[in-house]
Amino acid sequence: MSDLPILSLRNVSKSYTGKAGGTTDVLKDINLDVREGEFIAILGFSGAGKTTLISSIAGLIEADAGEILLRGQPINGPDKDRGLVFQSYSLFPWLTVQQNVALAVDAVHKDKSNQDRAALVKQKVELVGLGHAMERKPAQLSGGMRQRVAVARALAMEPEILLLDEPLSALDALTRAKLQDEIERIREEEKRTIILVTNDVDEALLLADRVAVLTPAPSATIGQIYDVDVPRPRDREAVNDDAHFQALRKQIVSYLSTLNAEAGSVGESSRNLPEITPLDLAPGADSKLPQAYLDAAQSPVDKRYLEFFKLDKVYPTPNGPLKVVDDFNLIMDKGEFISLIGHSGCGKSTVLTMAAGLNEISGGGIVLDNREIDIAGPDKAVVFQAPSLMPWLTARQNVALGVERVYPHASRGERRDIVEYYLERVGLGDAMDKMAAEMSNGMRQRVGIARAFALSPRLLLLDEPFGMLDSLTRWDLQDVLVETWNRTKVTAIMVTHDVDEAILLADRVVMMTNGPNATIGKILEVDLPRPRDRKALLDHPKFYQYRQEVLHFLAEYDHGPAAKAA
Amino acid sequence: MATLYADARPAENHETEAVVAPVTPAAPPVAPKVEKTPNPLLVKLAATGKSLLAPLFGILAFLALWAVLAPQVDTSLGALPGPVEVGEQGVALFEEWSAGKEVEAQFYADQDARNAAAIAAGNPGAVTDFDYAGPPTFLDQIFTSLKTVALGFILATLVAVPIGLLAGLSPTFNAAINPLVQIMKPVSPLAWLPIVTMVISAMITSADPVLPKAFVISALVVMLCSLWPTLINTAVGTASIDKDLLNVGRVLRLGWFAKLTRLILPSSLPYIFTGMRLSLGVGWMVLIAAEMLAQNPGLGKFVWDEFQNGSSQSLARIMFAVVVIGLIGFLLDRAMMTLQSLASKNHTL
Repeated sequence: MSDLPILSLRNVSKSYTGKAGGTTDVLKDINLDVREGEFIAILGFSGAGKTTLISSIAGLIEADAGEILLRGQPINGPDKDRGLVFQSYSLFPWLTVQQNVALAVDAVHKDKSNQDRAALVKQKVELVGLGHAMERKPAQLSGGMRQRVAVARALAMEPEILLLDEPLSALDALTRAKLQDEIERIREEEKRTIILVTNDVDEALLLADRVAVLTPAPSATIGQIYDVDVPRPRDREAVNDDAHFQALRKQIVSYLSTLNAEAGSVGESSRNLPEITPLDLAPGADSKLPQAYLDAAQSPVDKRYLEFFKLDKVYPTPNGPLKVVDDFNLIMDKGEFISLIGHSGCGKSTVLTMAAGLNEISGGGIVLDNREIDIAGPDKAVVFQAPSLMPWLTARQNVALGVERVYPHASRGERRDIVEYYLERVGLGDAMDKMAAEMSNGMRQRVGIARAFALSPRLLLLDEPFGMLDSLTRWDLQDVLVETWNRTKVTAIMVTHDVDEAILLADRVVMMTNGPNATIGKILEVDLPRPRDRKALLDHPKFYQYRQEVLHFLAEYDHGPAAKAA
Repeated sequence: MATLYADARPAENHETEAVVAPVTPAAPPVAPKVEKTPNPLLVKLAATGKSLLAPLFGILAFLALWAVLAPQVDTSLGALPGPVEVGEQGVALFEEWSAGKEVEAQFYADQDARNAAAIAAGNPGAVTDFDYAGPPTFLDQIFTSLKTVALGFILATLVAVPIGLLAGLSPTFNAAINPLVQIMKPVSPLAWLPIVTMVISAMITSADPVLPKAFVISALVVMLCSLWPTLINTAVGTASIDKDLLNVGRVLRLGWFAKLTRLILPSSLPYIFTGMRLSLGVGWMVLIAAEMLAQNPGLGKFVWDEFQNGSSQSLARIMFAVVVIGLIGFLLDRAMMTLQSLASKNHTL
């Protein structure tokens, strides 16, 4: 590393003029020096102007003020010395992997001979581990493979600086981890200067030499720069035990939380919830049972409130039936919160949808509050991964749709109170009459949570509710969920693949083995005091111990068929 | 490719800047805020003016070419009329209409006077109540055409939307009707016309029916041809409802009627309106042919009559009708487009 920075940003500012004529300052006075061979991660909220910043460095956007110097010289438009990888893969679908990369090589290295160029293409494609897929078209590749091609294409231009614009955020957690390792290996082999834009703290800490945190827009600027002096190679599991890593992670998380707190998240409700019992849309079972049985069943129902018994799920495939879930047994008490964690494709969502009554049960059974689950209903509320709101309705109307269904006997005013209570709880007190179509994804998912709680369900099912959100919005919503759940203590199951999330929310973390024939691999009792607070949790020694246990389990099962494809 | 992607935005920005620049006051701004936001009305006007310039130029160029080239084509009715002759015939048609209106008013005034005189003379038996039976003018014919297409279009929508909803909800039903739809869709209105004519002639036998035969025949042909886009789009829209939304419906246990009105119809509304817009376009196109052959007194009949007439002004009159047909079709499409965008508002996340 020489002392002269390879890239320096001096007071870079950028604003956009909106259609209505108003101006928004996106970036304001960004100052950053990047040394040669350094790996810098730029961490920020969604909409903070991260993409604007990296596009300015790439020369795709001209900054309004300030200058961007490459080796002391101001940059002038995009050039081959800065290779950019986009969040979307942006490959040409009609070209093969080899042709996609060759296109960039042919454009940049005109002076090289045909042979040299072909060799360069081959070398870079093999570097990202796709030597076997040279002749495949992007449509035949998985998301992770496509992003690797994009990385190979950027590398093939032999840039001095590699710019990565959230290259992993569209991928699932497992593929992400694989590609993170890949990026680390490429950094090791190529020794290039890399700038990575991300919204994931762990990703930044795992890969970067320095982490620059961008304050939220408008007028985003670099708030803090942290030196990540954790020795390489950094192993995802081992690093978790490193006290220095823990401290650094806590620092960054707290700093981000303070930035985020200004936006405000969990709302207080001035309203009192009316005292009404929801209409039971699954009656019948009770009336037929003898009184003696009911009396007997009354007391233990708190203990064995929800029971999965020898649960199987078989999907028919062209190659014969495939058993996805095999012999899943679990007993939950009333008011318990369980998170289901496992690699993608392990059937955790299948278990959840069966509990919701949305998916047919192939064998065994699920009993909720002494009734077998055979049909979907509002007593088993679901928060879907996609917010699944009716876009033509307002937040209020979306929640009201369910409330009308389960409280038909309540007065109009009482129903309105219920709707407004839960919307205020999730922090949407000011946006109740906003159309779902006009909301951000985070806001929509808040409505989705309010809708589920407002049904007063016996069982709350959350199917990767925050999977589509960036990790900072995810924290907000986890807080909202914790807060709302603390008040109702409804029995809940949440599917997730975020380890922190699983531990933060749950009483027990249920880890599932890889499919097919997936079942429960291990159950972790989370013995942390409630109510839980993210910051306090990060200080708790047990938290890291739990985290380690789950990470270890996941790493152990990291050899499934999905591992190779990614 | 990278460049392609990101270039779009800066280019756009430059354009708005270019528009903004001329209207920004050149004098040194007093408050910095004023400098940044020039009068939005002026900006908008400037933008509209710029966007109108190119179409205007295109139309002028076309008119010039037409004026130069048309006189060089000789037909049995003389040279093809240029834009000026066509414009003159337009004015003539309008004058005919006002003259016709005067004659009609005169007719009713005379009849009323006669009746009053007859009653005054103590002879109520002589009171007459005739309708004016003069030839329809061009404007009357436009209205007849609009009424015909409206009837056909409404009938088509009433038939197509329920069938489309059913086809979207039930794959079996969709499979059952799909071959029929595919075969009937490309059939020309001219092929339907004889069949519809025979059936309607057999059904409407009264000498003075509520709706004239030719009117019903034309409307039905319009309906038969404009049915399909609405049907197909409704079916596609209904079938492509987000699966998660359907699951929400299942969790809430919505009854079938609530499901239809609160979930299926709203979510397929944009598709239905897209289909209706296409249907109206097809309907208007089919109408002229149907009216020509069914002798419904609309624009189609006007064109046909002028063609048979073969006077020296006929070609100019037909060309004027062509322009009017195009303009009305354009306006109908615009109206449907507005409805469509209203219906699609807030329907995508």
